[in-house]
Amino acid sequence: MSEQAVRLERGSHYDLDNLATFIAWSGFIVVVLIFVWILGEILVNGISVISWEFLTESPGNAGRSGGILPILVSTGVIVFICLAFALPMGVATAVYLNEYTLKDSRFAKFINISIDVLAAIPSIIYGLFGFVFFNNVLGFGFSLLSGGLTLACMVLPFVIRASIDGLKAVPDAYRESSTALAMSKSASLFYVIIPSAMPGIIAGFLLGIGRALAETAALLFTSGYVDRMPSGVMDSGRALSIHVYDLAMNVSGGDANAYGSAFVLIVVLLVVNSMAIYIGNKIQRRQLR
Amino acid sequence: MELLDRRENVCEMHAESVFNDSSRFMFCIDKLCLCYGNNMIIENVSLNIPKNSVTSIIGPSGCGKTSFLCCLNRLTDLNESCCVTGEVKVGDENVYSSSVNLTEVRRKIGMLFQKPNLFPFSIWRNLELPLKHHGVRDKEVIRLKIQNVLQNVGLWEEVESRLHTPALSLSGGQQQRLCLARTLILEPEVILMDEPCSALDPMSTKKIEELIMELKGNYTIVIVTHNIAQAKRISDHVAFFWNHEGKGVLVEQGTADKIFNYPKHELTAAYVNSGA
Repeated sequence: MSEQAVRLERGSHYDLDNLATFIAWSGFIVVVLIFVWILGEILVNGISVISWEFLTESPGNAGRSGGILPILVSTGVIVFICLAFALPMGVATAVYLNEYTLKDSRFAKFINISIDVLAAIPSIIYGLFGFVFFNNVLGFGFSLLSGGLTLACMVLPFVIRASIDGLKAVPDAYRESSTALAMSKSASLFYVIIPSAMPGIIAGFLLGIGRALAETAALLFTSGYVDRMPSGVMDSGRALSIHVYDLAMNVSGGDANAYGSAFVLIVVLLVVNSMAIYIGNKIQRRQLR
Repeated sequence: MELLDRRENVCEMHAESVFNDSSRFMFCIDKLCLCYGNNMIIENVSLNIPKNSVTSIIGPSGCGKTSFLCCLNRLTDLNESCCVTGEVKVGDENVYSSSVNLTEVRRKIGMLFQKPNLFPFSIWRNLELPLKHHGVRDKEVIRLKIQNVLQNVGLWEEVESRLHTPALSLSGGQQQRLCLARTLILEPEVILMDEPCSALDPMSTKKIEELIMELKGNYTIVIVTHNIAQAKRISDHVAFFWNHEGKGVLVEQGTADKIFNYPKHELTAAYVNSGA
């Protein structure tokens, strides 16, 4: 090959390299810009509303004035109920599918397909299901319990999938060595496999919380949208995302408080995520002692 | 085929000479067959493994050496499609009988794997976990046992000051010695070793070999190795496996001296001389 041809070939490689670098950086910048834009808009418009009173008072005048305390309490209760059911069930299902069933058995395949189908169902359908099953059939009515359980059904496939991924990432060598150390299967699971799969399980937990906090459609049908302080889990209550939706779409003059509530929603999400990562790291670090 | 027919005679002769004194043996294996689904991996292996000595399992890749080793502590149970027939007796107990206490059998038979497979915990936790699982709760007893096994594998001075740091931060050789310590902490009678030095450098290999020589007075060691020179250095007894039409078969067994210096079977002679 002549020197000129080599130079030409090199030149085309450089062009391709530059193009690929440009595309990758452009994608990165666009994503960051969108994120900063959304966050910036909420921050700029919402921060002025945030005050101690906003966090500790009940809403007044359909949410145009006052605070969001009952909304925060309802949101906390709904998310807690959701995760209290979805996490143990999700992790247990993942352990069963990954550790106890034959990978290519018909039963495992059926459950796996079911999980994928459940994950793809729109949240409004879950809302209708929750309304029929929890509100009417089980007689829970419009309540935080109905909302939490409906959300639990909705986030379950994500928790299961993330936990299965976490368990799959645990090398088989751990299973072999714990068996060779005469450890029972349950001991191996609790002391070796599940702690090693903790990053995946935490990812499932975060996905679950993210979806539960952001959900509106499923909750409209199940937990309702009254903005008073709930008297218990059987009482109706309004979640933060519904409050944002209601103020932004149905209440004229509610924009400022909608931004304020959205700001609180994002802060709550960040705090919960950080706590989950911190607790997960702590669990793993405890194994190192 | 003719060559392999002769292995029957070689193995039968040996079995007859040793069957009379079963108390000498840790394992008495009779007509062991192993299948994964419809594939037979090991066919009709009968072998007696003497107590307190090093028995090397040698042979080319794919002749079922590791699978054979996994049959001895029923690690084959981890694979649902695996089916084992025949008898593996440890003392008077058949490992494959339905009434066997598998936890007790596996506690008696420790295992060291090809690659160090420590748990992603601290050095201390790796050693404490099996002890606690087997009912040792006294903190002082645990501390003494951990110190003792680490001293036995020559690791105590190297890790004394960092027992609570991640075990996976140790070097490959140290990790393998820690795996050995983890196996020894349950006070087994047998240690199965599946090519324990294949991922190690020569210095670490030498240390493991020295440990094997120290341990063989108190433990029965069964080691799978591809390294014929290593087998010559450490073995008291040798079993030579061969891949016959996709199935692992035992061609010849005997003392290390007989197998390496006076092999009866042509395949054995060819194999052991290929590594000379």
